[in-house]
Amino acid sequence: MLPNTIVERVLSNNPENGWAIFKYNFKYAISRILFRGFFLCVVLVMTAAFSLSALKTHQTSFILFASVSAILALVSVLSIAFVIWELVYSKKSMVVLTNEGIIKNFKNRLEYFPFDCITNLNATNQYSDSTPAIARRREQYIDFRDRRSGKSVNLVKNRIFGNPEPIFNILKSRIPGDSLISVRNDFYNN
Amino acid sequence: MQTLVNYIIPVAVLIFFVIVFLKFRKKAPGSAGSPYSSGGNASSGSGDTQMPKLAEMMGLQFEDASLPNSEKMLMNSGSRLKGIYRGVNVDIIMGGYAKEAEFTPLTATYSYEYKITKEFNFEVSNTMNKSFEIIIKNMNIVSQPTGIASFDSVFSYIGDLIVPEEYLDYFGKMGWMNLKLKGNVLKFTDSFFEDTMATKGTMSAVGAINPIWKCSARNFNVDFDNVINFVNKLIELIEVLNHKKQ
Repeated sequence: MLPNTIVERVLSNNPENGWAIFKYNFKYAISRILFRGFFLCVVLVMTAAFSLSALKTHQTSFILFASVSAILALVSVLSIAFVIWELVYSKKSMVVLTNEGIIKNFKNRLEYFPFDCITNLNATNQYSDSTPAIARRREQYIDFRDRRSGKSVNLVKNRIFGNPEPIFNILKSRIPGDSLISVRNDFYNN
Repeated sequence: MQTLVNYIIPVAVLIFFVIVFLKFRKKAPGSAGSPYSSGGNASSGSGDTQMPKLAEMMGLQFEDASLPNSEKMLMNSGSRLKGIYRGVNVDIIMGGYAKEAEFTPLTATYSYEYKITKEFNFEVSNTMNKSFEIIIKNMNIVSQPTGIASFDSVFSYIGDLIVPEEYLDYFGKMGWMNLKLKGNVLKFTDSFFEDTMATKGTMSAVGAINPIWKCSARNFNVDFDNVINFVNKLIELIEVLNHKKQ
């Protein structure tokens, strides 16, 4: 079955038995926009407050501070734009684990990876399914290597398609037995 | 405000150096900078007497399946039980490792990798190449109801091979299962702890009694008779499905 057909069948609510469907997580997108928007507001307010008092007396410091603020503001605006870009294509965005392979449709880019081509499957910073979103402090990824190209592929990042744990658990039960599978945990303090 | 401006740059530079120090400082030998480290050179070997005993009871050959040891290894154990049991080729693998990661992201101070394998593999003759999978109910998976209430309330059933009602009811009453037939292998994966942790939380998982081993993370006294009864039930299923290799 063609990847396009699989996406269409999911959209028309006519999936096949055994497919695992993970649709785009709107709540996570909204929370990212709000958080980044809040950060942007803080940067702008701080810059404005600082400018009023320091513009005349400390021009060098002001330029430096304003430059850093401008970069932060630009990064915030761009990161919000990226989420909005995701939202534009969100209706068709999904990860589907069929009985033969993975379909990833994200930002209008459709990819297909047969299970036989997947190796070095790695989940980074796995939490339990029951861990609430607010307690997931570390960045989460599911990556693997495509045997065809030898390239590393990022399947999901954080909760873009919901919690990554069910995706990883189903995926590791479907890929061939000789594929390397591991979990990596990162720590940010000693 | 003037004082504040004068201090902004030095403070920013100081914070930068503190971050660099925390990230790249030389770690004390043995500690590897982490409370999770056992100081390298984790002891190899299965480390317990449970699996050899099960091998003896089932008449299987026991092998130490732990990985080669290395400086980065934090935990390393593995047992493999192989052989023919009731006319079926059985391969039981129980083990896992944890080691310092080869690659630590720039933003992290320490990383480790781990893998745990707990599976019973039965070699079958699947000439029709049909398959089935029984896993804990997952709302993301499209599955077909079997019509057996005790089963459907707990599990997702995937596949085109029909498993007899008696066995579905048996699994349903057990309350947990992770069983899959694909190709010529019937695989039981012991993901009870992980599944319980995912559905009920970590604290519940610690005290939960595994329906196969009849033990928990708190009390590790294995009921070998129950394990063998379960294996017998799976072999009976293979026979009923007419998948026994001649």
